[in-house]
Amino acid sequence: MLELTASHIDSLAPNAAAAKNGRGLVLKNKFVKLNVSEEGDLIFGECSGSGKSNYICSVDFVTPENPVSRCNCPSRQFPCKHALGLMYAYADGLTFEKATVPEDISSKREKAEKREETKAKRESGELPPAKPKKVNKTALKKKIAQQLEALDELEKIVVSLVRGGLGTANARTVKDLNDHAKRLGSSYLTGAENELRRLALLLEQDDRESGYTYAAEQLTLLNAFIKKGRSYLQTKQEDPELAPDSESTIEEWLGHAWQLAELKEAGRVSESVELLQLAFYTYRDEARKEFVDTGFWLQLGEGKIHRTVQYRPFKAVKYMKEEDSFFSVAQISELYRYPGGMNARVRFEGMIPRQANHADYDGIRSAAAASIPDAVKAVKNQLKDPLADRAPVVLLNAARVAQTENGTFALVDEAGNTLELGDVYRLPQPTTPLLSLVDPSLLENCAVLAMFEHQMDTGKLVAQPLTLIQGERIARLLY
Amino acid sequence: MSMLLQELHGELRRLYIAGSDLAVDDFRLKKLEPKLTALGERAPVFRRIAEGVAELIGPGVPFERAVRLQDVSMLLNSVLATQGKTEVDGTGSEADITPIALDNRLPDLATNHSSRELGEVRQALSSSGSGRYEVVLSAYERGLFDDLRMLPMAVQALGDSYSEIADLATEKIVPGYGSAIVAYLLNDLDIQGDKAHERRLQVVKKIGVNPEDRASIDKLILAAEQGGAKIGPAAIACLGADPECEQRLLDWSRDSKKTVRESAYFALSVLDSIAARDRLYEALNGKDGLMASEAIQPSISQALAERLITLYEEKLKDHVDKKVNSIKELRPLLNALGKVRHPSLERLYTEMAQDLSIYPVFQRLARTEMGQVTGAAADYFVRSNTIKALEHIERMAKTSPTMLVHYAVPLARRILSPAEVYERYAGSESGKIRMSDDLLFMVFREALYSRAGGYDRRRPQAQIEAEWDPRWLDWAIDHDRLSVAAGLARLGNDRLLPYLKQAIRNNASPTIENDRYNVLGAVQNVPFDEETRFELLMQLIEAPNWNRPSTLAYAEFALTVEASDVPVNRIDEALRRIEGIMAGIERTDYKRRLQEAVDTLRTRQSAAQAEAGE
Repeated sequence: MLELTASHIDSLAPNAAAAKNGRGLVLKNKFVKLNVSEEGDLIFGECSGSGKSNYICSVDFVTPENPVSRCNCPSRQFPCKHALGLMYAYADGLTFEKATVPEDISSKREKAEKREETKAKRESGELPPAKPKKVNKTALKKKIAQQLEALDELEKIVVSLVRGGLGTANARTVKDLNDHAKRLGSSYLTGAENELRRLALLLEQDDRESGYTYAAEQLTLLNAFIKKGRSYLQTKQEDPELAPDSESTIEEWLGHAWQLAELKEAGRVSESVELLQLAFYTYRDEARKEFVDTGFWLQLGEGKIHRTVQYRPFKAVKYMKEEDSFFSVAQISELYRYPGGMNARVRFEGMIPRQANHADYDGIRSAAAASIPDAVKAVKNQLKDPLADRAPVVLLNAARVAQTENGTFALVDEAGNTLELGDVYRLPQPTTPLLSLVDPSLLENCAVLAMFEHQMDTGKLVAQPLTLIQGERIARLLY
Repeated sequence: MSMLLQELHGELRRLYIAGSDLAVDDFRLKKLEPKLTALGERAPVFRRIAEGVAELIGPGVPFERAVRLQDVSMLLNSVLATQGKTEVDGTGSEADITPIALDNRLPDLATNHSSRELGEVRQALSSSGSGRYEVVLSAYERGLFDDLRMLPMAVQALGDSYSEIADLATEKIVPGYGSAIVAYLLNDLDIQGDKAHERRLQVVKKIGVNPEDRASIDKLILAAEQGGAKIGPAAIACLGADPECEQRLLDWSRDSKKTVRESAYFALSVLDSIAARDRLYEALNGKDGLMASEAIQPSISQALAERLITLYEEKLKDHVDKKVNSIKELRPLLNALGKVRHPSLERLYTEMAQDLSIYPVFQRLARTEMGQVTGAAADYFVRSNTIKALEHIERMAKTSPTMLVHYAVPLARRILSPAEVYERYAGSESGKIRMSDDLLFMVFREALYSRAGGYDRRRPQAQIEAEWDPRWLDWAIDHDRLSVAAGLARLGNDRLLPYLKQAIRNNASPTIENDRYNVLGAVQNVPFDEETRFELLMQLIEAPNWNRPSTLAYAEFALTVEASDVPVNRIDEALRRIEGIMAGIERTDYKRRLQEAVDTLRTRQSAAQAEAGE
């Protein structure tokens, strides 16, 4: 029998408003018909709207990790408020009458089943594989040539900025950089486009001093990117049929958006994985012109911290699902892993939630690094690669979190090593001030999920606490 | 070594700002060069850095120089990234680190709200535009502010540019965190700060500060002594909790600034020491009397109240040296005692209710001034919620009948059933306190309608039926009070409809326009059957003299809107009747309005016909 919790439904909702409206429909008794299939894997019903006829909607749980919602309302959000309302009604324990599956849905189910079958047959080799996409070699060569040319252009503008100095940068410079960024985008270098725009933003920043520090760092980053990108593209130009480099992040830097099929082909899939989210936050990335929903997840049993990233372009915010904090364990059949460092990005399509239990929480503690120096060493090892993620996230065990006389917070491990806690530039909100507000008992013998950042101006490697975990208590400091 | 590299980073950063073209023969880098070369002996990577620096400041083309700066910088950043310092400043040993203070702890705030929920509130509190207040209010009601992460947002809301949000934060949200928030609010209080910081102090004043928490008290004293024009007085008002501040507060109560004295009076009333009471007693009898009485009203102690009641009685009975000749001399006492409950005060007011003449002072006061004193007595009784208190008020009402409207009936409605209220004030037999028709009319005007935007809004039907005895409707019909009858209208009274139909035609009544609007309210809210509703509506349209000058345009407007909405099967008849009266109307504005209703009806009619024809 189908089990639905309100929090699970919340997580399916594309945004808070849709969830609220869906609940509203239940509260206002808008559902005139509520049905459930004999097998209990389909709920369907009718909901009255402002028009004459009712909306007919259904949610199909025939594949429980990927419920399919259908509705004849004109909304572009999936699930729409009617489907969400239907699920809330079910979770609230309203009476759903048993009924046979409507014909249109059973025929849709059949079609979907067939698709799955052919797919399975193709994979097992029973059927000939779908024709591989033909690579248009000339087009690809042309594209690479264009990318290389754009890299040269990028180098020119970067060098000229270095020669003239950041001190002379003004509104004009910022505009030039932004214009140039646009051209990079149209030359298939969207990764570089974002980074150049980020540089322009740093030069616009009110706090000039810190702006200069990060702008200088950004310039060296662009330098590293130009060098690495050029040699990569040159190799590729010689052999266009070369598969994309699935080990390093260079493809992503160039602006490649990995397809799940590509990741699968490169063997970057883990099967039957359980993830527990430890931190989640959303921020505006002005350089990308996107909202970024970021989650950090612990892979249970494995101890790795993965990252989920969802980009929502400002322009398309209305139509895209806004990810949200997730408090249960996500059971995932196929986890796609992107190339990357310590917290490589992962993606999954559909999951089944289950309540987190003792063993899961114990798993957090045992996955946490016991020694600060060991953890720091791994972080530094990543940071020395200029193109690696600048802000690795690590789960650490703390004997306690304490404060020095001058008010600085520090994490202390079993052996008495200390790690200074502070707020990093790359996170949208400070969290260390919250440490003096949390229940002090939580600050002893706990695990801390922290984001590291090397601060060039002070030479410090600072860690910002994202989440504190003690037994089954989880205090998320970021949102 | 890492010092040297960090220094080099600083120099390179300088060049990034100044431009690499200026790197030729840079003397500061030149000074570093030998040290770098020496370091280069130790590892190849350092040698490459040293060589890079040499090329950067040596002769060469400007383009190359920029590339060199980039390359050296990249290399250096990579090396520095492996040398980041992670230990806390100081010795780095554990001994120097103290556990986080356990005192002043907040209640255990959960963090189990989702990012999406919190994000909505953050968005509301960090942007501008409409609808923000509703988001914050709903978040408060749903308990979102119990989340640890919302606390900084709540404090930030104290400074919101939309004052209703800031007020909500000051009155409800931030005080909700309890006394532990005090230390947090005061910790980074800017004593020269703006309104937001003044509001922090208002919160502290509201929840009170623990005198044991010396850090907070010291901060408050500092703010009181050196704070800005608004901060200083706000801080003084918080200091009543600390007995050690007594002398300071006494001094402030004699300050030349009015706001300082006012805050000091409040703090002294919280402090409530013997000296504080003496000072307040003195102030209440001095020229600050009125201001002091308002300041101490919310926090007056029983001990001080007792002294003031004695003084009050003496003044009323002419037992003081100077006779009271005007209400001005009593007003500070009335104010200060306004919220006090005390047996002595009750006795005093009861005596007053029995016989006003025992207080000679009343003979010298003007009638309205006397009303203020008896009003205070009635106010005291209203809050007693007893039959006895009701009787006291009714007795006083014999000399000023409006007390029945403002005090007696509201109290009676709270403590008696609707039937009892009817019998008490309009019943024929018992009829202890018969109210005049006009007084009752005043009662009903206020009770049945709320005035919003300049016109009456009928209260919900269910509320009216629950709160008023059905016999009142007969009373209204008997006394021909159309607006009251409309306001009390309900099913089950056979006299109602004939009365309404006859009364709405009484164009001679001076209040007929407003009354008809009230009848429309009844048509809209009472669950009449369709026939009755339609007929009443049509008569409401036919009854008025549409050619008279009128200022009550909304009534006509509401009528025509309602008329456009009659059931489909009635459209024909409605059209016939409306067009019937339109013929005789000369005023074009009214005619146009009715025409609009007619047009709407015709559109609906043709739509209905089309649907039926399909």
